Amino acid sequence: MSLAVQRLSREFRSPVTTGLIAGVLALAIFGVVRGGTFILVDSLVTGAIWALVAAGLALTFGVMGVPNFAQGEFFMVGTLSGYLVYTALSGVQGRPYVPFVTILMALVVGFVLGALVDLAVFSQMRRRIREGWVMNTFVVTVGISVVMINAHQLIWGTDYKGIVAYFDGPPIHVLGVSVALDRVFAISVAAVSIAGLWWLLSYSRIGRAIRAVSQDEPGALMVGINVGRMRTLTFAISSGLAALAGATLLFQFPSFPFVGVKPLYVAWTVVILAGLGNVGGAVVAGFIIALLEANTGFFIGSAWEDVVPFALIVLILAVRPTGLFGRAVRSVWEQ
Amino acid sequence: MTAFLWRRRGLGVALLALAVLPLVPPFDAENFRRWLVISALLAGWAIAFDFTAGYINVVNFGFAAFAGAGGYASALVTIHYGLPIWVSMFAGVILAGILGFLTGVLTLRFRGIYAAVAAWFLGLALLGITRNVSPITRGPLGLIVPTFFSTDSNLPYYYVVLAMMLVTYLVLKAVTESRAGLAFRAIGQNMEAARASGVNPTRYRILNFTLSCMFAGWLGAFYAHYYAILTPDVMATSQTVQVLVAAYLGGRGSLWGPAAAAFPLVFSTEWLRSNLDRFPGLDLVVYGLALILVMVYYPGGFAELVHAIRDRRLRLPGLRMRTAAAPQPGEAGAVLSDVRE
Repeated sequence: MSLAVQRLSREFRSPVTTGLIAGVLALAIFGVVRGGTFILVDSLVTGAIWALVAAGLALTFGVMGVPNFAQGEFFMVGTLSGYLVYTALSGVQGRPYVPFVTILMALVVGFVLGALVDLAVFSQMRRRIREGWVMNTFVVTVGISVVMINAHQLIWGTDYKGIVAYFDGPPIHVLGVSVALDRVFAISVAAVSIAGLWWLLSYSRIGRAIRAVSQDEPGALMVGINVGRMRTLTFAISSGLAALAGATLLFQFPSFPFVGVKPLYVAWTVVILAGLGNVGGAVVAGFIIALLEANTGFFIGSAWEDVVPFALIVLILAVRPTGLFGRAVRSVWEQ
Repeated sequence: MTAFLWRRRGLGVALLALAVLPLVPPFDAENFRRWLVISALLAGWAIAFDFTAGYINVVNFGFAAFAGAGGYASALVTIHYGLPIWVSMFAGVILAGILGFLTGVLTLRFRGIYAAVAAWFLGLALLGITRNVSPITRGPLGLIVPTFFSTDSNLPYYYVVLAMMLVTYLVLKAVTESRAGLAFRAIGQNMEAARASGVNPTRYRILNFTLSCMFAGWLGAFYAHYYAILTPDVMATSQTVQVLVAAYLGGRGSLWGPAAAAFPLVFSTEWLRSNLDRFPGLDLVVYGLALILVMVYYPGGFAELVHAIRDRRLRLPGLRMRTAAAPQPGEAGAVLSDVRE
């Protein structure tokens, strides 16, 4: 993270970024003054989860060069396995450890499925495709997304499979806003997972190897890193995080085939805003997008939540084609 | 002129076959004719899509939104001004062209995935706007649109859309065979090298986007006046995905490949959908698997297969090798990438 902080402080020398950050802060203050503190609390809760989904997306792009269009479908897998596990544990519901077991199982399912997808598809492509890697994998992930959505429909149908709440205690009060226990749970899970991801990437041997692969593949190969395994691991971590986010948000997103569409869109806006492949930036941008959505929903109407962020992102891109913090990855993956 | 026609003898044969097809059993059944209409429409869209994806190498991921905008423009003009459909369709062309032009301008500085995502977001924003300005578009309820003909038969619609597909193909093919086409390919392969050799990427990228979207909007207008009901769903990403699947299965950068792939694609998915309705979603699972398999094992698609057979690079039973096999492109690259692995 210190690296991210360093890069951030360097970015502040750019007037465009400084202006944008100032604009976001102004938006936050405006929202709180005119709308109320709930906008801030809302943005923090949803922003944390968006950051989690988007961090995985940024990671796969940064390390493997795969712009994953199926990230939302791994979120869907998380909601589905969360639902199945939670209902299977119905005998012991109410015990405080059940939600934790549920989301851990979802994490495992997403992780294993991601590893399988990488072995079945991307490892095969690596051997065959020499040019146009980014666009080709993008199209392949479109295919993966279509298959996963319709496999869900084929096997489990189109009904909403949801739960009312993981915890049914009274809501707690933050800044005069009452926050349901499930949302407290969600933000805690997101915070712990992001911290865990950051620790993994910064300090562990595996994380160092993953970063080496993302920076210099031949170099990583030369020092004896198993590049193929690191890529599989990266994809598995990323899909595991998405599934974890899905299971955690099950109370808000009941599982059905297209549940991943909204998280996918949001994750992509976040990642584009941050600059593709920038994991630290994605966490910051997750909160920015959530703030933007909360403000749009309150001041313009929730129907426009899907319009304003997209339009704004395209405008920001027009000013900064590589996103807010995207300088580092520019040369490697532009093709 | 003779040479021009002779080079297009394959197109002539294909067109003749397509024109006769709805009159021959079993294809003269009304549901088969409907599938033919859908196929020809998808073929036209796939050609327009490939014109961008296969040449300047930018995937217009908001494609369906531009096509749908063309449909809405045409529908609204006929409804409010009572103009004949043949005229109002050009409102669709103009609106989609303007949107394509603006997208081209906005995404100029982006490459590859950034341009695709920017076009996607613009498409999503357009979809959201269409859904939200319900006083004009009636939102998700959908517009009731006058149709071309007052008949229930699909046959006249089929010939209309076949003609539109043909015009799309001929115009875009002519452009790709002109100097502009050369410039497109140069930009698509290596923008810096193209710029260094005096190609102005700005002008050609905008030209490409505008043309592609104009034809998308034109065919979108056909969609509106064929289905008679127009909902914002026509602009959804899943529609773009359909066009993209046809274009990639057919093979990028050939224009005819995507069109040829659209017919078997629509027929197989529609057949699966109507015969295996106990398994909803199975048709799209097959769809997605086909896309993945082609992209992983044969990214050149159908057009590459035909080229390989024609150039006798591929040994097929019954085809005698008359010339020595041409060297595989990128054999040296294969060795290099093996080393990298």
